[in-house]
Amino acid sequence: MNLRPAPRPPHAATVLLELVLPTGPNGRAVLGDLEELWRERRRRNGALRANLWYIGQAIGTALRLLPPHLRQRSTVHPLWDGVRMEARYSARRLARTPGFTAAAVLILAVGIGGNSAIFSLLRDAILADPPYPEPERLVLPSISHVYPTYTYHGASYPEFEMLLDVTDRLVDPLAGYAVEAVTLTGVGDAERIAAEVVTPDYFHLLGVSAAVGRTFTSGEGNAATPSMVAILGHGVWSSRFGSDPGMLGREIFINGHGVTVIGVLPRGFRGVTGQGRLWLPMAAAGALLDQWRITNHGAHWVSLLGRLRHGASIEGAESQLAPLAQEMRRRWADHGSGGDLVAVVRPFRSVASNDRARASLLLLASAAALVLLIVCANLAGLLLVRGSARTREIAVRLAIGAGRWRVARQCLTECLLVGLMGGVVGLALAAWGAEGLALLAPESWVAGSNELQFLNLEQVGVDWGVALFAVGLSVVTSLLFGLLPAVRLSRPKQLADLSAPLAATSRGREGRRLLGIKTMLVSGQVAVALILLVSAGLMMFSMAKLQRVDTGIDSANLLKFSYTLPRSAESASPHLSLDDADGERMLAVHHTFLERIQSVPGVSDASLGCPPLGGLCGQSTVQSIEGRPDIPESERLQVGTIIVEDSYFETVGARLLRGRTFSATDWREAPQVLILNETAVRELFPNENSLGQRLALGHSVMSEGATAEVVGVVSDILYASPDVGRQPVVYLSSRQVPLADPTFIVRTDNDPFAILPAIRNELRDLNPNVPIHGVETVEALGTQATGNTRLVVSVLSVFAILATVLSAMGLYAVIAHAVSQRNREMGIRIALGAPTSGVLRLILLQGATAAAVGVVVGLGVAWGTTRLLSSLLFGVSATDSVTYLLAGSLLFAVTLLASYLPARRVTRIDPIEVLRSE
Amino acid sequence: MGERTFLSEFEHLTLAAALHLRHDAYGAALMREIEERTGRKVQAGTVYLTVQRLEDKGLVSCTLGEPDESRGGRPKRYVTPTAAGVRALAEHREALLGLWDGLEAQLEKIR
Repeated sequence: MNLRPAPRPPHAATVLLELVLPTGPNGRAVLGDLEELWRERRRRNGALRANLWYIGQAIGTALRLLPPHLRQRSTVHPLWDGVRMEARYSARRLARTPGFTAAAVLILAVGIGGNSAIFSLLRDAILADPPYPEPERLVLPSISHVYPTYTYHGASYPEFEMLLDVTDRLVDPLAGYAVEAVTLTGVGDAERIAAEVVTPDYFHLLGVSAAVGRTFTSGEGNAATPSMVAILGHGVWSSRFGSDPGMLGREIFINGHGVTVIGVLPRGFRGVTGQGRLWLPMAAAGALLDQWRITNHGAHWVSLLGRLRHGASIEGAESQLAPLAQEMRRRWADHGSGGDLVAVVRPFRSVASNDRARASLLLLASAAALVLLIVCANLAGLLLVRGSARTREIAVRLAIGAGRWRVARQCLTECLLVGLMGGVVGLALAAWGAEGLALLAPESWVAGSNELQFLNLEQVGVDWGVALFAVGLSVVTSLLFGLLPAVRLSRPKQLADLSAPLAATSRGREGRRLLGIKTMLVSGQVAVALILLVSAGLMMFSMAKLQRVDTGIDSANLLKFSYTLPRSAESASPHLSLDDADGERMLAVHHTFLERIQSVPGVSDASLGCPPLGGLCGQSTVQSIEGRPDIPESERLQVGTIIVEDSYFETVGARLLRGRTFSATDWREAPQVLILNETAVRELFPNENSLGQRLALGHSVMSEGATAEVVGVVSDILYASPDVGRQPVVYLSSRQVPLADPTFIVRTDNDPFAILPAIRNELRDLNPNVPIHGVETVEALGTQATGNTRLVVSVLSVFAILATVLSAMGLYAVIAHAVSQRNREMGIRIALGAPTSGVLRLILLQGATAAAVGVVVGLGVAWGTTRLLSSLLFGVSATDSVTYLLAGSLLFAVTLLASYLPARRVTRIDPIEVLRSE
Repeated sequence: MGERTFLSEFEHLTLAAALHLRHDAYGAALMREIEERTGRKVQAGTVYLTVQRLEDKGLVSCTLGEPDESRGGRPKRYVTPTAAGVRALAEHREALLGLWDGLEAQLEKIR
């Protein structure tokens, strides 16, 4: 699925242009000109250069179009004049050392760019409020089912109606919503799309009104007289119906039922699930989806969302709901769903992002902050080196009466200039980085499971907010890295140096203390770099372990897709019962279709069942095992329940270990049979023969009181993501538990997607109103499952490499400086007969000490902090000694090299030359 | 009329480029034309202001085209030199040629 938007020029620059250009068509024509040329340059020179060009054009145009009085030099305040003079003086000084300036700006840009890019993602995903009115008062009240291993917050429709009455004094309004896939027919091909099924107050609650037409009225919330109406999402309206305003009042078909279009929602609105493309009234769910959705007390498919009334608290609302939970516990004690019923009110914000996704983003943000810290230390070191070359100039300035503040201010102004330049270049890098991040972001964050509800990857990028962040960051960082040099260099003690000969100024005690500070800065950088290296290393090992997890199948050329057959509205459960006439009919359709798939050229194997690596398709608990005492509810084993066709195991490449697989003899009137996976056997029958045992499962797959015999054992297949691991699974035969929404699994000889048109044709032949949906390769499912780790690994590795390079550069600069400062000393040593290797060793020792101190400190800090990573690690401990050893020695080696390169210079010192120059 | 209109350097470039481009003279094309023919980097803001000034002086007339998807849905603004514009350009050329008269030989020496 490709939802990536067409590339656009840097947003911040466009905003700037829009601000200065006239608002009419003439101004828009200029924007068009620039976009056209930007596209041309992007094709020719690549995105980065095109973006830089565009930003330059924006700034240039802004400067030309600004009202003249703004451009004129101000004579407002003498202080301002002073600042301007300072800035001009600093700019000239910086221009005189273009190498230093470029290096400093680039180093800073890397730090600011990284942080701004992460910020652009973090802001939308975590920091931003939900885009609805009074988000802090939005809550999700529920009578939750608490099981030993998980909690389920959904409500059934009858429960929703009860809650509506009970919560009225605390929560107003209260709305119910759910997202369901429906089949849309009427105009064009049949299409499977996600519909939000909602109660009328839903739109009012979210403060959304229709762009065209209207939303649902309270009358359309009455389940007794369901209204067959629908509201279109803007996307469906424009893509499928050509934005035709005449759609209002027209009929479309949802799951084969005619409904009238009453409105279109604003562009971009996807509902709280982030997936909605069409909206249906919940009261009509019985007619449009299945009757059980309205009548069944046990089907908890509705999520509740409400707004706390002013003065009501979450705790108050919970205690208000508690008696209802008790009442329901009593009333449905015999319902056998298991678990306890508890009143829970959760703030909406807390559920809008998934812990793991949030942890990953915060980790990346911290890593970016660490890189910035290194950048600061690095620049402070660079400035000190540069500063020591200026001690005499500063001493002169102090001597002729410049105040200390004045000297410090000049130093800070210089830093601020470097900072702002770094910020601008950093923004360009951020635009680029944010684009990369959006490409790397795991699908699970936005599609399907929707782990970060308010993240819209199409909107991630540089805008005013990010620009402001970058500018703020540059000011703060420049103060941070400028402060130490400013304080050190402006010390009145510098006065003494004036009397010393020029070359001697930075020798002696003061010079040595400065060197000490510089060395400390380097050690600090090495320490922080090591933390990043260790973290990146741990994540890399995790990723490698995740990729090496045995999935139990052969995932090559395996394609999965689904269809949903229209069913009679009277069927009472998502699983059709065995004696349901519908079930019989559907089984026949599935098998006919399967046979047709198998005959498509290029298909080597095809079956029906839950696709591996995409999550368990069904779950239940083992209620009892024949011949054993009753299992108390809290100890019942939770198992995956997967309904498969006879050839499923063969198609996916699993092995039959004992017994037999399903066959035609397991027809619907025959005694029900089961196949277990290895893990289930280990859990249920650790020391006995599992074949021939009889189990009872929950009522969703087995009728009350019935048991089924274990006839086979198969090798484990991985269904969830690798870090969840293998789960106990019970397989049932599709002949005995027919499904309305089966998933087909097809192994092909070549490119799996190549057979799709043929398969679509076959299905169209059978029933033109049934679309194929959920097409994906099993390999892609596996990739998606590790998407989160992949993002963290990629970004963290980039940061770790940057950190290593920066700290090595820092060390290089300090050693190079030390060598040039100690030229004379070394010359004398060599003249007196010291071997050059000894002198080299002396210098190297200095670098090695700084590096070693950094490595030791870094290891210690990493030991303490990497456990924060634990929740993201897989198969490797946060204190894995191999990673620490590798990261430590790698960094030590790199820093040693960084000090060896400049140190080599001492061996080339000619003592005579040195002494003569004194 | 009758009074001579003097052109600034960039007005001169813009008018000449617009003549070269004939019916396809709009902002981006003008920028491209000037850059290619003179090797000089051009700012969109400069072109915009110059066209504006030329229009005020009655030397060009401007018309808006249709919104264009490849330009983010924005229209092109076509620039057509008026008769007065062409005349001003011709006079400018005459003035330059007069100024250059006798200098060519000196340039040859430098080369």
